[in-house]
Amino acid sequence: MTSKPAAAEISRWVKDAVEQTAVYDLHTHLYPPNFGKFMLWGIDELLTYHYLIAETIRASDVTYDAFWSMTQQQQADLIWQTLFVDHAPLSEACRGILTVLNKLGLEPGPDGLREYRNFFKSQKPEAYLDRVFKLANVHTCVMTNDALDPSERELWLSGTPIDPRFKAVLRIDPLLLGWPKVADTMRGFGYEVDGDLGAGSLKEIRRFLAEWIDRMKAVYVAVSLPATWAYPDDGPTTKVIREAVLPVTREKNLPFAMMIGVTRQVNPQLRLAGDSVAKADIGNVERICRENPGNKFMVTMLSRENQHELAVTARKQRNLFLFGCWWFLNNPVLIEEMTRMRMELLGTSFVPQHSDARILDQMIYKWSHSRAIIAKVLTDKFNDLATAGWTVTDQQVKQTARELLTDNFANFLERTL
Amino acid sequence: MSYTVLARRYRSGNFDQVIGQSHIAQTLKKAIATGRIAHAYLFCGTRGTGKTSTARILAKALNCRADDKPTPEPCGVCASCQAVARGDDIDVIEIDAASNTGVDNIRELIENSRYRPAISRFKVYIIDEVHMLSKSAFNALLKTLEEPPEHVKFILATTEPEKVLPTILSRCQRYDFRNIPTRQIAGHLKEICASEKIGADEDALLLVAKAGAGSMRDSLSLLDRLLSAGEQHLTAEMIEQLLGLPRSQAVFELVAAIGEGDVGETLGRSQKILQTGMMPDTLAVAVIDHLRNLLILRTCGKDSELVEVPGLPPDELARQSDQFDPGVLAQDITILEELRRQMRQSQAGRALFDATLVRLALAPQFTSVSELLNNLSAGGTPVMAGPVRAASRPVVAQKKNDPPALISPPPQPAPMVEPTVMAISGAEMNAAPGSGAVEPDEDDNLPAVGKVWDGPGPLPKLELPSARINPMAKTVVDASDSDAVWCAVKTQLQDRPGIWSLLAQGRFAGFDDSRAVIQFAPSKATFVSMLEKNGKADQLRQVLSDIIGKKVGIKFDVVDLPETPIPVEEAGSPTTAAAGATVIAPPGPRLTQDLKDSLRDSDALIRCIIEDLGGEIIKVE
Repeated sequence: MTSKPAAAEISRWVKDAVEQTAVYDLHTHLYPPNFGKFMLWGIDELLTYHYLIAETIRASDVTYDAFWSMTQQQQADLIWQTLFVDHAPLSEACRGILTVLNKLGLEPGPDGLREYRNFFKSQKPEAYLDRVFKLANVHTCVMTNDALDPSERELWLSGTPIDPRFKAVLRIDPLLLGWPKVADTMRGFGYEVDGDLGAGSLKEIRRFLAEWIDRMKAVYVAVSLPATWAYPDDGPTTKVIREAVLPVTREKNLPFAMMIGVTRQVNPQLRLAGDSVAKADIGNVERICRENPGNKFMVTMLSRENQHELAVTARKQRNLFLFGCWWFLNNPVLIEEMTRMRMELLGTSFVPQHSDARILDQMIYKWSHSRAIIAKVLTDKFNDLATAGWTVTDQQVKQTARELLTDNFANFLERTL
Repeated sequence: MSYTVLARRYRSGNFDQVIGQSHIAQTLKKAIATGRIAHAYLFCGTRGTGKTSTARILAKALNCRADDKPTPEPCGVCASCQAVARGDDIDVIEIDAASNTGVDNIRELIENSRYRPAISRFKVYIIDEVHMLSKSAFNALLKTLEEPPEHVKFILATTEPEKVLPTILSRCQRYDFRNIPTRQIAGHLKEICASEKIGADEDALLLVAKAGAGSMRDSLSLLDRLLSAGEQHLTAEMIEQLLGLPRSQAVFELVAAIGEGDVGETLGRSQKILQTGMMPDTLAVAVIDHLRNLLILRTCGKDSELVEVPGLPPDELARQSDQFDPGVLAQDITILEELRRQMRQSQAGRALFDATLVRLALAPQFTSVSELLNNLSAGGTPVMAGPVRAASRPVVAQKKNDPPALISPPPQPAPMVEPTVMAISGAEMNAAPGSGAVEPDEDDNLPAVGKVWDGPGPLPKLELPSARINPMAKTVVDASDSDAVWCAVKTQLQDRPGIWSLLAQGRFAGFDDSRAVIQFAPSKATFVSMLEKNGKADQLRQVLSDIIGKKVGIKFDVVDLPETPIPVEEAGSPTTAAAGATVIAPPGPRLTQDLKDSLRDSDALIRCIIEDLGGEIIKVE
């Protein structure tokens, strides 16, 4: 008979398994070096990330206009001074910077900014990319790709090679939320569409989707939807989803990912940092999944208040795949709460986290912090099993870590409904 | 059947097979033979130089069962040797410190190290990338590393020994692995190709070895990639194509155009290469490599083994090297390397690239900052240019409409990597006669301008004439020289960029009694209140007091200031340029905003002149 492991042993197994399992990071805004300006990395980019801009403008007297009149490096200097020198860097975004510096072997401290700049200046993007993937222990990350962005479009059309660690996602926010204005852009790219979304236009949108999914080898199609999104309704969003997005994704067996709950530009003076959150109607998710059993959906919601009902809905709809703790939910207290609840409601059939990183280096801290929380929850859960008399094995722990961090997503992509 | 990469299949199995590190292999063999085996080793060196392979060989030597004691010639066939080679020996524990950085990992290691090895003589811990350990993890390791149990040996490996705590370093026997010479790598590749039954030209293997940059693993990975294309015979041309390298001949011709100072030809040739789909960065690397070879030929002679140029006749290369001054070559390499760094951060990489090629081609028209500043200190003229950088570079090929050198002092040897200046004056140099700075030379018809070509250093430090700032005397500056004071403040606040970022929104208006007056436009008044908080004003007060050598106060004024820099009139009106320095860009390409931006971004001092002294690039001459 197999002897039962002690709690400390289970804890070690879980920690090792979660740390050593390489992640399939299913949603990021990262790009390989040959995407040029799209690849953001380094200390100034980290510091001027919009999370920290919002925190700095709160914590200092700087006015919006004065802040935006500064160069990026001056903004970074000010943010460092305000959040790391004048005050203790306690927020999750600040702690993230410290984790990144620490993992890179730099000494985090108030006087270090110059040294950090020198360090990043000495890095070569390709080698640095390798180092970040290694430090974050990520094997593959999924980009966010906009075929209606002229400069990104040019890159794809030029046939630029893609680092195999980067997978593409066709992001279609303008296509769903930008009617009728987006018609002009699409016409400019050779698609015969007009603002009224007649049959001809919808056919052209389907052509656009199919062509770009193939060109990018997209692993899914995605959109960020406002909290006020309603499905179904008489508006253009529903029409494009029903008559273009769902047929094409169904035909290509790709998931349609919906990130729901943002309220755009509640404070335009904060620019990118000006978006906020509101509770969305879970009924929309329920209806779209129920009406389209042959389609695969990936959903994450931004409001904490939506999380329980979303997990319950996922229990009812097998074509609904839950992922990540998005944006304002990517804080330890909420990650732990959500992961625990999802595990209790859904077992292992979800993906607990994605990095959502926009700056390459962020991947290091997002996974370092999330791994610690996922391991904590998993340890508790396996110890609960042990208390209930179940013999927990190292093998089972490893398999669970693999499912949560990489296999569930890969399997969902392959799944045929 | 799964394929095993060459780097693993052909990993050195004993000390004699270690390539390029015979000094280490022999020392370790002797140490084992004489029983003088240390308890902790530190292997340092760049990636792919044999650290892990040597660590494994050492582990084999310690535990080889063919002998009853450690042997310098591990058999390679006993269970222990084979298990180590496979990486699954239970008593040889390989730890990747990059993913086990924490103190808990080390505590666990220490805890486990107490136990005797399962089957071998020694328990060997190979800790790779040891510099990645956290400070507390290092500290936890100290005691064990100093006095480990008798059955434990540590082999630490790192690519960044400077990040390893001195207390760790002092407890280890350190071995520095050298980058493997290209020819040795090429020789090894040749053996591998022979054993894989693949034909390969010497030039081709040399190219692959060069691409590995001293790393055997990188070279082997590359060879793997090439072999996976299914070719049965490797040629230099094929490898240049597969690696996306420019043809050696094309780079040779580009450098020839640079050497002749022919801007049009230089840009034309680079365009031709880039049209093949090559990235500017790759081309920059190829040009650097070529210039490096010229430098070696020029300084070490044409028979030097350090020169490795597959595909080019050595005599032709030697003739080209004669056309360049070693100082110029060294400087051009520095400029190109700086260019690569800047291109990574720029959205106008191509413009930056072209601007740099123009800069290299026009090098004869520039002089060095240090020379200029020395001249200023000695009361000389600030406006000067001459063929200092390219003492021996031919200038006959200059275009007719290129400006002549303004002053032609006798050719002098160029400083190796000094930044260079084309012509300079303006507000930054506009101090009164007798104060050490000088008036523009009236004979010169250039406007009051400042233009710095190259600054390889990473920091935007504005160097000032020694007469204005004396660094040895705690940087005491003449308080009446506002520009000098302000630049000194910036320099002193380099480590407190948060304060400078606020100050930079205003301007220094000199001293009012014993108070430094700093003015801000009403729209920037918010920065005043921020400067007054958290002791920033006190720090600034201290810095200013140190700079002018006496205690001063600070007064922040909110006044109507122009929101944009004072516009500078067209070149040719030198007297109006005093409000701000003016940068004269090189002749050649049209002065687009992109080019202006790239010129500004290409050099810290240009940036400083433009941003801090209100300068503007106005003309290409």
